[in-house]
Amino acid sequence: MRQGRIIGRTVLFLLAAVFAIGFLMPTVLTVTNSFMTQSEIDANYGMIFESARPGGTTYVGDSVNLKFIPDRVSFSQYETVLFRSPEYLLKFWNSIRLVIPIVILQVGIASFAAYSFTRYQGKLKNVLFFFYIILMLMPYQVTVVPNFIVADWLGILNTRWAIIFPGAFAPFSVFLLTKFMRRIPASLIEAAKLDGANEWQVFTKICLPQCRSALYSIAILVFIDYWNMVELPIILLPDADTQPLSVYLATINAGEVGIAFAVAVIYMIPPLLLFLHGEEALVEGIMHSGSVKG
Amino acid sequence: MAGITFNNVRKIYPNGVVAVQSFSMEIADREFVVLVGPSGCGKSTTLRMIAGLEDITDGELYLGDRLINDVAPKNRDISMVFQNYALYPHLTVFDNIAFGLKLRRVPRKIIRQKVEDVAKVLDLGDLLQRKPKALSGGQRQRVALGRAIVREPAAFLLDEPLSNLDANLRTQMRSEIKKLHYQLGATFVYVTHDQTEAMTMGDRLVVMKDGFIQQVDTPQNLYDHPCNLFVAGFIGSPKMNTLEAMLERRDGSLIAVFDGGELTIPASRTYDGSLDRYIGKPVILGIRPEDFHMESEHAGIANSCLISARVELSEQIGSGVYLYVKCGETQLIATLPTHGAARHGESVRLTVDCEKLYIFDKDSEEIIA
Repeated sequence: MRQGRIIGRTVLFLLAAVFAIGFLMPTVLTVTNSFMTQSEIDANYGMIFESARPGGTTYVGDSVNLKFIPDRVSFSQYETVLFRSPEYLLKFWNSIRLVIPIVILQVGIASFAAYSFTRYQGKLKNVLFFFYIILMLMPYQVTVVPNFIVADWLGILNTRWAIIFPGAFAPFSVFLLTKFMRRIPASLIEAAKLDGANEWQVFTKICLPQCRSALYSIAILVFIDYWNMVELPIILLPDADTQPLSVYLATINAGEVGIAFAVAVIYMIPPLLLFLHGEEALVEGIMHSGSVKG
Repeated sequence: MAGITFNNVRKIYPNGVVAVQSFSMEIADREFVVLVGPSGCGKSTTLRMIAGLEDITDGELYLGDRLINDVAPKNRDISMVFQNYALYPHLTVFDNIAFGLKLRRVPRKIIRQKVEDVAKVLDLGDLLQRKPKALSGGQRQRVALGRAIVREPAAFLLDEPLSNLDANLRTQMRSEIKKLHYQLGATFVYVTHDQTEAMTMGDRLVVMKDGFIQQVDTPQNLYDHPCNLFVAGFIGSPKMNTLEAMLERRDGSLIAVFDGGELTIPASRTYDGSLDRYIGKPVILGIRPEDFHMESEHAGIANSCLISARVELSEQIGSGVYLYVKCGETQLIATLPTHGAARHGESVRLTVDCEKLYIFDKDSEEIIA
């Protein structure tokens, strides 16, 4: 009996380890390969991009070689990204200029909307909330065309507002935060009212501090979602100069494979730091919002 | 400080449920009034109407001389202690207590002084920098009280504040709240479904049922002179025994005959003739468990009647014993001294103090004698 349990656990552990390695491998590969020289990258992965390469003067290996440890640690790719090619940093800056306002506006607007859905009664409220859920369930490809038409009509097409504006009103955050706010006991709000708080003070001094973990988890999720966006900028920001770095990473070309690894590592840092800083809040926020049984 | 006056107050919820009906009474300044009744009787709704957390459908509510029907909760000058304490979990004990004062822009120095004074009264001095989750139930309750008293409001409302505490702590907090009432000299309105809590704390009790006031009186008067069967059953522990009986006139005396025995109604209870119209009709008899005595101990009681019964169960409570007996087909409970109490299956002869007998109209359930 006991032996069977040990074998079962070992099998489970091995399975988990295989999956963990499978998930981690691309990240580890990206990080270690970012320290390779361009010639070593060509030797290992050149064959994949050979047909795209004009002239074909560089040495190209006969096969694709997944290599984790560089022959020689080199910072040349980082040097190029950070000091020699300002366009990468510009694109990084574009990403920040797009994502930060979306996060701030979406969290702010979702807080107001969720508070209203939580606090106010009325027949219209349930209908509206139902529409929010329907919108949330729609794949975003469905809303891209209307977004394009509206942005064009507003004259904000090919400006960052074409992405920020629809991004600020995402239904998922409202849904998540509403579920979270409904957990706040009514007596807490009533106590605050008796203590002399007006509606704004109840919202800012009682409700929002209670939702800190939810707000943080929404901020992280929204940040990661928009940090990785590709299709929206391609459609709504046709001008390459205004596009974020995520678009560049998705449209990588053969001559810049080495740089792409370095850029990818740099691009990974902000969401990673955000996640590490708010991991607990993220878990708590998602659990308490009703998405997971607590 | 101020009294509270209800004038025909009514509360009907939007779904049509009538929570409070024709509620009229005056709570005097500095009085400790307890609203008591079973779940759903409207006591909490009444309290919430005083606080302004529920709209008043009809009638008038005054705090002192001020009509407060449409006054916002924050402008009513009332504090409330909630059943679940409702402490702000993200704030320290200090900030919880100081919250109302900060909102009213009281100078910081005065806030500190007031919070420290309250902390001293409630023995919270060492806990001021803790968050509520680091406190025990009793400590949380004291913080909730602290938050209520620091603003020095006109009236305090307490909504079953002890129901989340264990029995020992409840007894301790009960006396602490009572002391606080003496100390503050303020008007207290307290809601509970626990009649022991109500009896021990209130200057006056308001017994409610189905949204109606059944009786308003002092604890002792409610116990001694209940106005109807509901109040008689609700006040007192164990509950008053009630049994259906038929009134008969025999040899000039009035006899109540019930399944398993009969009791002679003393002349002192019948002289005004109020029971005459019930002769030959069924009535409800009420006997408090403590008005039963073992036959051997009935010597000092002037108007006692004897009944025979069989013991079904006895429960020791230390100071005495609850004896569950069956008299004919009638179930009765008697509170008796421990010594000499009978055991399961034994036959006993119990005397009833007939001077303390209650007689209720069977239809209206109002008391008739």
